[in-house]
Amino acid sequence: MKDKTWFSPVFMLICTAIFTGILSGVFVYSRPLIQANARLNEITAQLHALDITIPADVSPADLESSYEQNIDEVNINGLTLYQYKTVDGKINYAIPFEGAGLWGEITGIIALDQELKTVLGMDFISQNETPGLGGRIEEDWFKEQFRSISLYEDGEPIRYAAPGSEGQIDAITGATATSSAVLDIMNAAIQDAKSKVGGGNS
Amino acid sequence: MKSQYREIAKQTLWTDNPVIRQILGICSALAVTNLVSNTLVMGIGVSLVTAFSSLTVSALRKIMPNRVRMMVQTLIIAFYVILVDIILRAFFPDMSRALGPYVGLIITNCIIMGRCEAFAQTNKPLISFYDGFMSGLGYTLVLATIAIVRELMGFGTILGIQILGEWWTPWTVMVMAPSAFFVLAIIIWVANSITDKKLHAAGKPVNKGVQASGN
Repeated sequence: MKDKTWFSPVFMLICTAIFTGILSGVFVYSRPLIQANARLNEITAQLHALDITIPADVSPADLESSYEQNIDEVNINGLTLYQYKTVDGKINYAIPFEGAGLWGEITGIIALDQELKTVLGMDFISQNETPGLGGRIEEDWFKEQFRSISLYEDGEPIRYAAPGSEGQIDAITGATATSSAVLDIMNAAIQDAKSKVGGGNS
Repeated sequence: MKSQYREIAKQTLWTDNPVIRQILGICSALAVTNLVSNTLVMGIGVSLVTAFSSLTVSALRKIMPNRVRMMVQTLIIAFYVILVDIILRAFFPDMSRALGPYVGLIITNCIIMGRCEAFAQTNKPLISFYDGFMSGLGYTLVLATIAIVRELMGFGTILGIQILGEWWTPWTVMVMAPSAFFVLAIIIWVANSITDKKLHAAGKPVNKGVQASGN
């Protein structure tokens, strides 16, 4: 039977059905877990960008419910963003950004104050940059540079400090392409937010 | 029986090592070796996928038609790679995030299909599983050596722990892929000199050049 011509395609079909069947089963079973992980990752990124400290021992469910209570998803002129009311009654914005990095898409969150003049912080949700080079954008020293920096009024809102020109943050040595891509994506998101949300319409 | 297991261990780890003797798995030898931690996780992934793929191929070997065996092997390997990816994303999200595209890269590793073709196709399941795992281990051993050199010279660290002091100027070239070629070539040179000398002393013909190659 093994050498019959008809047996080869039949064997292939049966094998494919069995293996893809098992994979589909595993995928369906683990999908809620994967989605919950992705959701948790996004919430953590937003809170981190907004400079809200997450207690170390909080359970994912508690984190989710307190997130739901304190942060509202709003849509302003077609831009989806997240609002957080601070204790002194101000509204901070967490704005999602996405764009092309060197190897793949980079997504993340940048948080701005009510006047859209100060960056409160930022965090990445996903990136595929070179580990050890561009991938260092995930390191805290890089991300923490964006804590409470004032934006430039004209031209690019955030700039790298370079010899002969002033800027708020340092780029990553040896990873020029990723460094400029990251800044371009964030600047585009800030400009977009400025044009849609406006400076003082609240 | 026991000597067969010992012989496989000797071959996969040293005399017929997949990376330095068969020149397989070079693609990932460049991609993942700039950090030791990435290399170790990749090594575990490749070892497990090779072991289970060999086991499955061996179990199916008696009913598998010869002319579709390559297609079935590819299917089996893809199956295990996707399985590893799903399990990591569901249960180890931090590791999955750190590895990013590397898990998918396991599928491009020639060692896996090489062991399925060369060993599992004609041997019993248990020993095929062992052969696959040991081949993955032989691969990990060489890659870890490359990674230790590259991380030490590129960052001054090993597994993220600072080894070299402030006086050390990190070599950016060591962080980038081409340096893996230099390090790998030196390792192959050293390893081949040692084995050739042994063969020469034993009066056996010295193997010049490489028999197989792939990515």
